[in-house]
Amino acid sequence: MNFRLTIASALATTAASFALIPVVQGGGWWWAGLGATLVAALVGTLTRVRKIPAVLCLLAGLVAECLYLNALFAGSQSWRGFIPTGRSLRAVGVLIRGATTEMAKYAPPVQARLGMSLVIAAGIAVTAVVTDLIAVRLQRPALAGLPLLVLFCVPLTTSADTHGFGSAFVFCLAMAGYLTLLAADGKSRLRVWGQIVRRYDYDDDEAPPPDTRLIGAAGRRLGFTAVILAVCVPLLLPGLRHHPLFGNSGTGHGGSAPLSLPEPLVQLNRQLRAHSPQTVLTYHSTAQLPPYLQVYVLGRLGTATWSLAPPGRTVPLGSGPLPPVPGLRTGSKAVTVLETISLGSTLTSAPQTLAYLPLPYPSRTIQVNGDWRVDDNTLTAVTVGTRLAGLQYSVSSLALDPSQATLNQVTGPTAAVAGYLEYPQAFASLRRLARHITVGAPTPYDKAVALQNWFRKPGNFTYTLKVSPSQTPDALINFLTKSKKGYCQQFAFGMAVLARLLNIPSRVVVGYTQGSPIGHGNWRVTTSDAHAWPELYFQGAGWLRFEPTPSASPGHPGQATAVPPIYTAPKSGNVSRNGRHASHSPSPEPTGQAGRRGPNKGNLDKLRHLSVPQSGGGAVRQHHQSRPPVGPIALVVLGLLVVTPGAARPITRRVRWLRASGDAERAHAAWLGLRDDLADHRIGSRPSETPRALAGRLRVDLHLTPIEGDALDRIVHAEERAGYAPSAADSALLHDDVRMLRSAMARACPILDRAAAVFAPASVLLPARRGMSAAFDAFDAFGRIDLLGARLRAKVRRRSPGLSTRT
Amino acid sequence: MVLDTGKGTGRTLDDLVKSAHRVGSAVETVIEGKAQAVRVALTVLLAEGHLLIEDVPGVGKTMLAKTLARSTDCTVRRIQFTPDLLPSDITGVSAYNQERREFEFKPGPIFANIVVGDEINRASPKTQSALLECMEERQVTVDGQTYPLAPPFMVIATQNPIEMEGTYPLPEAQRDRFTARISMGYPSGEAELAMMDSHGSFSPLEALEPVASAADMQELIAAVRKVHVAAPLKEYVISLVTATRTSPELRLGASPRATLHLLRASRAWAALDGRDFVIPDDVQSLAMPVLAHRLLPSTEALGARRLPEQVLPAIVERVPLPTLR
Repeated sequence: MNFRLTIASALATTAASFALIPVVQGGGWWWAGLGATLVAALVGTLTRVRKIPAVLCLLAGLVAECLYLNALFAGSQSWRGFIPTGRSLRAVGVLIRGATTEMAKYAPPVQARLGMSLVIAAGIAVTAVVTDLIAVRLQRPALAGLPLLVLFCVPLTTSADTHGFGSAFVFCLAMAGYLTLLAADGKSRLRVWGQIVRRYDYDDDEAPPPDTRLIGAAGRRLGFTAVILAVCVPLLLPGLRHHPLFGNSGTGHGGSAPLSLPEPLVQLNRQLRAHSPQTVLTYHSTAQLPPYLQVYVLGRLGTATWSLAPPGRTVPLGSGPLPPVPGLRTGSKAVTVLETISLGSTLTSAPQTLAYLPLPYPSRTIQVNGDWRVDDNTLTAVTVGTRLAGLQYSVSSLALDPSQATLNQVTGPTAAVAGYLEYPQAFASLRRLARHITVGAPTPYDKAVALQNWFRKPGNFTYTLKVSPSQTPDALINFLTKSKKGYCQQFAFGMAVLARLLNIPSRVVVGYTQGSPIGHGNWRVTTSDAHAWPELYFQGAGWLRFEPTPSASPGHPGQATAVPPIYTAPKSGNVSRNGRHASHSPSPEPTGQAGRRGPNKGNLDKLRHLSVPQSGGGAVRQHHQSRPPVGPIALVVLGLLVVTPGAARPITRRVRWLRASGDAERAHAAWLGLRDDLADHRIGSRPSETPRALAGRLRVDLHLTPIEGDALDRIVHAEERAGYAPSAADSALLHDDVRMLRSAMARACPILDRAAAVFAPASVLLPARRGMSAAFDAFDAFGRIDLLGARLRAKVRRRSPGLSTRT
Repeated sequence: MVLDTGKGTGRTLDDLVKSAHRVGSAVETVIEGKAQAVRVALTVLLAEGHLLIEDVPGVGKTMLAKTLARSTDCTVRRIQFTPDLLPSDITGVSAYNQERREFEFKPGPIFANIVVGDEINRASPKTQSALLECMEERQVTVDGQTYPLAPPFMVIATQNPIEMEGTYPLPEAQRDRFTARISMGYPSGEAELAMMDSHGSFSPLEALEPVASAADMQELIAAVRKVHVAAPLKEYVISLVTATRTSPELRLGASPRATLHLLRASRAWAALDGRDFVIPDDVQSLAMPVLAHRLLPSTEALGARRLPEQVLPAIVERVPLPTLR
């Protein structure tokens, strides 16, 4: 009766059942599954009391599971609470049909209603019975991985969210279960293999079993390493990674929604915190400094957070001209910017999720393949089911540059944008702050600029990603009044909320900055360019972008590619973003030479400096915060590592000789130097080899000349006398003797060993290797566990001498 | 090398070592091609120990013992051990002297400088233990009277490992009292050829003249006692002996007496080299003859056909030399 395997099999099934967590919401099903696993283990054990055919075992298991599920889900309709009756079976049937309908209707995660719990518990029950049968009855635990794999694959074959720490945890649990099963079997097998063939019969019952701990520990180490590799390698390989962009990773809004909505802020945070930046898209632009690319427009400020703007009327793309730009006075002068955008080829999108197209605002024409619709409220283009990877499209947009006159004439908000002025009462306390910041600003536009300047004022706020991405009113108030530490999300929210408090319509846009130039009018946008910014509405000028997030500058962390819009620049003049296409400047301010080299020119230079000159694959190395030059440092460290051993060897030799005082110490120094030289030349010596024995061997191996032989004898004699005689021998010649023997070694060794002695001397590397191995031993958790186990066993054995030593 | 021998003769260790080497050479004229065995025998003599020679008949066990005795001008007595041998046949008896009307002690063959016990395993345990008591105590007690044995005193016992029927193999406690055990082994072809020439017409043993006196040997033994043993070397001996006690392949490791014997023999071995200090090479050379006969293999080692003779070299190989500072 193999209880160990039975328990391991049940554990493995239970661990694998955790994999279903992303598919179902609510935890009742898990307990039902656990019960089913226990029933399978119990019935499996009972069927193995007598050796009956495996088919009967399987049948018995399935029947028992049916009884169990019937009792659990239709107990009240059953006879005696567990014997199925027609009524109970009908009830079960109804539950199953309901669950099947739900599954067909809703995308995961689905609510764990009674029917769904029944179906899932039944799945776990079948897995448990089959696993138990294969692992224990048929003694093939490795094959028992197959039913477990089926359970584990359920979330992978559905569109359930399988990303993040949770999935890694679930994977580790399932792996641990399976490895436990294998280990339990391995232990039984090792007991059989490890028996020593005994010639003599002696008290066999008292004899301890063969010590298989070392093999067991090695197996556990292998298993642990395999799991670590399985978890870590996909993180390091870019090809195996999902790019959580454009709404494909939305968690959805429960099983009742047929279409999942994206979570812009979750994506923003994920991308900003990505381990290494991935290229999102590249584009060609006719503008010298292209506009930002908006993806999501968050116009609704709730008590918890900002959410997507209420959808307006959507028009299919290609059916006519795009809707007019909200709020922009007809006839306003603006330069048209043309852009051809290519989305990255590794982007993925889930079939039932809304996907948004990154677009400059306000776009006027869009040429793109696929079924796209444009929202007339936000001018965002959305699709369902269009493949984003590798998508290419052309956009023309307006480079808004409202004249000061237009901005000065801004009137109060119209009813059309009244929704963009609402705010929860929790923010009302910030009104005083908003007024305080904008004291002396007469027009709404001046107030907006004052707000932006307040956020960007050096020393006022600190840009850091090391803050909680919390979006609650309290967190925002804390950011604005106390901590003053945050990243684009906090800055955008802060400015948008303060603007609403000042009766300026505002919204938050999530998307990307213009990215970094890669030459010839081409730009690259990576995940680290993900950004959030506020847009404020001015009647006549429309929605204008503001940039409260500080830009990165030497010594001051900030968003690396964030650039404040030209119309918010101080009155030192400005230049059109359109470079040579700029035929005019609507600004009333004089446009002198200094103005031409204005803020945008400086920003452009900075962006060029950030960018990588070639456009080959691979992520652009740019980050939100200034980071140390890892590459050169790594190269220097590598170089030092290569050079150090060879350089250290003569130093250690010299130091040892200088530190030796007196004949005895010099003799030891000479002897140790000789041993080190031998190690360096890959000749080596055994720890138990006496000086005399070593000398005898060297004389033959190195073909020493008589003079060298005498030198060797002198060293050996000096070492013997220094170590074991009452008085030491003369040490005058020893230094030269060691040098002479070193040349003899070099002469006798192959060229590779000679090179190794110079560049990678073993005498220097060996202590380092020993240190590392000691460190590994110190951190070898499994070794410690084994030791602890052995100690515990020894203690138990001592306390109860009557117990058999077999465990 | 001027090492005071303590006898006030003013002779240096070199002189004494020369006479020891003369003894060795003399023995080698009779026992050909067995320099190592002769050297161990001489070492045991200088270390005031006793030697056990285990080998098949006819390889020169008794000859070695006799030659050693004759070349050192020591008294030698040979006892052929038989099952009916009594302890008093070894130690001697007190006999009543009719003329003097008193008991008179008649010394047995044990009263000699070198005693050759042939086929010691054929005697009864009682007789064996009588001999072994004399070996350890270096005195004989008969009828309450104690008679010391004159130095140098050495027992060379031989044993035939083949014919074991009707024998009493020495128990471990008694084997432990022998400083060293050697096997003679068959001579090489050349040595056997030379032996045919030399032993054919006359007995070289008869022609052997003493090359050192018993007094010389005494002086040499005293000098050996003064050979320097450094602290690291003592540690090394301890590590080696401890390794035999902890080895999973050995059921019985070396005793503390073995430690003393090994150190004493190493001193003699170093002296024979003309050194006044012991080095690890001495200990390693003597580990096999001094330790192997005291060890018992574990059942697993027996199963793997590994006898102490195979286990011991591996232990010597494994134990590192002491760290010198």
